Amino acid sequence: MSVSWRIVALRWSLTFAALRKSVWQTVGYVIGVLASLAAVIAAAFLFSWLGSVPSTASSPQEWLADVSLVRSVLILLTTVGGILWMIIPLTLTGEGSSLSPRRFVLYGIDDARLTTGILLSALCGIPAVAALIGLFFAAGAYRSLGVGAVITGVIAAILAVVVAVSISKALIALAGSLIRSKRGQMILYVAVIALMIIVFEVPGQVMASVGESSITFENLVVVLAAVASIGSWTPWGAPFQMPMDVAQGNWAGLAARLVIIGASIAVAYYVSLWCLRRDRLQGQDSKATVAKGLGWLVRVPDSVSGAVTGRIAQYWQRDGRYAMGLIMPVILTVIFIIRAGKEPAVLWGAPLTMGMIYPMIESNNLAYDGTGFAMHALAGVSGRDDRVGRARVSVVVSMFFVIVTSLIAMFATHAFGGGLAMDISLAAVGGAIGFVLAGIGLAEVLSTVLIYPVASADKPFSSPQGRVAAQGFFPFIQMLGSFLLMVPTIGVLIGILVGTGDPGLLWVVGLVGVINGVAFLVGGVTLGGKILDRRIPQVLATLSNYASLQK
Amino acid sequence: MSVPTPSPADFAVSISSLTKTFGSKRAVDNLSLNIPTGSFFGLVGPNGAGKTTTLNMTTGLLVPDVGYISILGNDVWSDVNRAKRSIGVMPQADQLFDRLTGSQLLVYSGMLRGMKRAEAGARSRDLLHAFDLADAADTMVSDYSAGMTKKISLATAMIHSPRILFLDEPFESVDPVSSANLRDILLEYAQTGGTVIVSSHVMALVEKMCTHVAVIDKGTVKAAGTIADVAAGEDLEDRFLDLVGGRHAAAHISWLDGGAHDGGVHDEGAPGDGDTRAGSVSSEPSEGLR
Repeated sequence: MSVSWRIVALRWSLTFAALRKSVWQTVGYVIGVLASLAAVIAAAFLFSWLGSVPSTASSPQEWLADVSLVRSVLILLTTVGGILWMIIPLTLTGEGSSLSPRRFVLYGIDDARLTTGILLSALCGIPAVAALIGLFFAAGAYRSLGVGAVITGVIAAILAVVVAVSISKALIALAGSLIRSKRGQMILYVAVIALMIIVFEVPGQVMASVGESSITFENLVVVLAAVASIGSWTPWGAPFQMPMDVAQGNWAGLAARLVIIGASIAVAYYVSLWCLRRDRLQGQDSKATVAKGLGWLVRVPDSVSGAVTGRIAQYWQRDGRYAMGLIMPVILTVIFIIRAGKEPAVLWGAPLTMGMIYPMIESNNLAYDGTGFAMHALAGVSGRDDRVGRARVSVVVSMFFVIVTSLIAMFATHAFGGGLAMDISLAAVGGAIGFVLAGIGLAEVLSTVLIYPVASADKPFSSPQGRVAAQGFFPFIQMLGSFLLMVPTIGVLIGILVGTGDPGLLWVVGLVGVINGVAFLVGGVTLGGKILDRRIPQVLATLSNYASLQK
Repeated sequence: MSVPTPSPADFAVSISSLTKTFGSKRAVDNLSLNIPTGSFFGLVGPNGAGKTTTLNMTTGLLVPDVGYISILGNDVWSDVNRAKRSIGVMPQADQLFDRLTGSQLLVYSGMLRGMKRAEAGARSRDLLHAFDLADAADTMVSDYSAGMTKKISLATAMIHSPRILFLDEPFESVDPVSSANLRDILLEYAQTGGTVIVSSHVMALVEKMCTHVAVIDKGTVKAAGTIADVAAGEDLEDRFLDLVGGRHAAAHISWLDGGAHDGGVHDEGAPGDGDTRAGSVSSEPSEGLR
């Protein structure tokens, strides 16, 4: 068995070992396998349907249009899929830490074999295998073009997966080697999020500008074919143009595409190899972070809770995981501004959304502390001081964004001219403030009980094992709870709208909203403090347990 | 009049009938131990003996199943936060907020215990100086070396001038110069009436620094008292091995011969590669796999 295949075997041994050790891992893994299976079955149905479409064609033109639809769908699918395969690990999941090249440095395996082994092990993973099987069905969709096209399609399936995996691996390696600083990570994060917003927002905007009336099936086929033609010259889309090339006898095109694919795989391979060698020879060129003075610790009240506030404020500044809390509001505001268009009242969505973001971050605050929380435990910090200190940071940051976004909405709706717009503004601002505060209050309670794993501060882009299974569930409780806590305010709103119908009374909703929020914030901090006082030993055990998941 | 039986109040730490079970494993088994005030007390024992579990229960981090612990005469678990503020526990390297700079971390540690910022700031400067960390005061703790991290951890446990210090392997990976300085600080602290409780594997260090020692194995105290009492005329390390057992004649590993012949890695696919070698190594499971 060669070294490369031994690494593949190691990958699976590690997976099975992890499954034996943790129930959550197994749950997450089963979900992953089921999702992959579902995707494969969906692909089988989709492609067998697409492949059968030509048989109903009545004219040669129609037949060609149908075949080109198969082509368009496949090329777009592999292109978008390939790009996602690149972006998702880069931003959300990170490289699987178990097979990180750094773990092999002691064994004197030569770089080429190690690179090959790591690529092969990625190709033997569930996602790659599922994609490969799904694309084999896709090859069948070319059956109306003859045996040559189908055989080329099978080869194309293999090439498409190899290309996607190699480029993805190379890029992660490159990001890992080159982006060492916190700032670099932040820039990467912002760039990718901005890219994703554009990707998801642009089609909607284009469709909206075209107008619904002009969208027909024929138009769509033509547009798709045009976009697919561009895609067919990218490394990800090229493989599934090859069956068409074979069917049409476009040998020059086939050769060109093979060159593109071959070159991409080669470049990806050598980039991975280069990163491996660079990391091995240069090691971590870590520059120590230096900051004069006590930073945030001098800008907070001179008390135990003040110290907690100061430390967390410092972490918002230095810990990449909190970056989302500062970037998301800005991005959301931009999205709402784009969406608002002719209806500026839509902008009220921005301050109201803050009530989802900050309580959500706050609702897992102990997990962000990690084992560092032991310092609070060792020092005998009371639960109340701990909660007050934390809530202070979330309240200040969230209030800043609520007020800024509210002012934008008020300007856009000309609320300062008075009248109905001002009445609505008072209700909306008060409601938004209340929503955020009540949510934070709830978070101070939930965070002592429902703790779920987060990425480590050293690798903010990695995913701790078991995160996927649990994380979908706990934040849902937080979100649902936040809405329930606002029932008094919503009740008053409905009462005024239905009972009196007088918009001049809407300010009452705002006032009730603020009182509603403050009450639950104070209650949440008090209750959360009491619970934390009692649960510290369990919390410590949970956190040190999660710390082992981050390794 | 006969000598009065000592009450818990006479000891810095008094533990009686302490028991803790994790699943089916009894980590601490009916353990009793008195630690005299002003002593430099060493806790020694093999890995998994229950030292850390005992210390965690004593310092208020782990709830005992059964048993009573008092610190300076006060029941730890009746007001756990008061007990915590009267002691200083050296955190492990991963139990620090390492995104703070050294001086921030010390001030934070002081303020968490209710000290005023100005006082904590002044003391943090003294500590940084005493621990040879003044140059690294403004560096983030995550960028510290292992030895520097040990020192800053110890400093966080001392900033509030506790009456008892709990230290777990305080000198591990600390350079000889710093370690000599640390020893001086700790000895002086003990001479002024402070109690130091050290858990360590380094017998030489325990013998040299400690006034008292307790040997812990399988969750119970095998022997406790002054160093001379426990050593009973023997070398402390030999006495320890007698008490704990488990020493065996060095296993003969046939291929481990210091390079006299080609004992290196064979090429891939050599027959029996890997398996035979794994078989000839001691059958004892390694620590990391448990």
